[in-house]
Amino acid sequence: MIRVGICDDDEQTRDWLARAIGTDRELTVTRVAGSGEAALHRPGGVDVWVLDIRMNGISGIETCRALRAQSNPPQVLMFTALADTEAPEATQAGAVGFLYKGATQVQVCNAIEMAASGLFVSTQGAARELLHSSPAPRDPRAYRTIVLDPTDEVIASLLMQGASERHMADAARLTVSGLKKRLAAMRRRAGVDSSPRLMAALYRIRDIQRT
Amino acid sequence: MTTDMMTTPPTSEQFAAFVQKVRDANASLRSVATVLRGSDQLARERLTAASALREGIDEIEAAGGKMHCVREPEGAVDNLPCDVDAVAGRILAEALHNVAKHADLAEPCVVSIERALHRLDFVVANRIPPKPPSMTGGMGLLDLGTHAEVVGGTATSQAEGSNWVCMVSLPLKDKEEMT
Repeated sequence: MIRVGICDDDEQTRDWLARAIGTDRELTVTRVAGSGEAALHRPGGVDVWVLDIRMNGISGIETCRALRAQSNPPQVLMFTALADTEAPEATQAGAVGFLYKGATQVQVCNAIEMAASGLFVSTQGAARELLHSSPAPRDPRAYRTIVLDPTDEVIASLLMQGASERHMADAARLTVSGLKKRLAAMRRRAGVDSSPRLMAALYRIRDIQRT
Repeated sequence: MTTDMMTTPPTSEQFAAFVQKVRDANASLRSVATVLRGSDQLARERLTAASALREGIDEIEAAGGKMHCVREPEGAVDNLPCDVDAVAGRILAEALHNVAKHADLAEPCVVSIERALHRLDFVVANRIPPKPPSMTGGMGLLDLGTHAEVVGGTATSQAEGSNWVCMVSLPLKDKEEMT
């Protein structure tokens, strides 16, 4: 039995996905989350997450990145309305494929089973984007100097979105004190001494794709 | 004034926009002159960082946008030295007005302000819309650096990938140091 998590901020979509997945005897929905934060709050017990890309709060891509950074990571399928162009970033974040809103119930179930097997699932449009995409960061060495690991990645993305320290600490599963130490280390590596300057440096070296 | 306006009579809207620009420019000059004169009382009666922040966020929200504002500490823009307050207010007003006017308001905009012992730093960032509006030659963003220089600070405002980022640093000096 493949355990499936659904993460979408639209209730109707969550219900439709749960019904679609319920028609397949090989699949069972074990988690339903209305936001990336909720998915990351208790992420275990799922083999394949179906994530909406565009959500309020933490985006689907950032959620995917955080889920894939776990020690025993689940597979992640991105569920999107359009956005072939988001395929490269989602893939870099660790997504194993793309499901399009408008897919049939059978297509959804087949895609989840393929993802659980580690097979890549994609439309032709997304595959084309992947083929022609260039590496995202404008200066990957500079970015990696500041952002060392997946926890830094979560912090950096939220910092650039103006998140509070409490929000960043929760998302990165740190205490506020631990978060402050992380931020201080990132500032040191960036050669700056304030959060606004760190933000400006991050914007300069990484063109964040907020979704 | 654009070439079109020189060859064809301006519409009443164009004329009103031009008059408003002149008024803004005058207000800006008065603000700088006030700072240079060191008149605390006059400057306090005009724009402050706190009022500019409040009004800028209101303007963005009225335009349908969402602003994430982080202050470190919470009162980072309260009780600033008079000259820095006036300059920070002018820059914040301009930067936030431009967010309201030009940003992709479907995405949240960010202002982060940090006040340290000897410096006030702030960054205003927003997503550039897929089809950026043409710039109409307003005084605005180009002047931010000039405003910051009045108090010995720096300000840059430029596109960074698909974001527009305005970064400002203003030194905070003791009154004794300034005289």
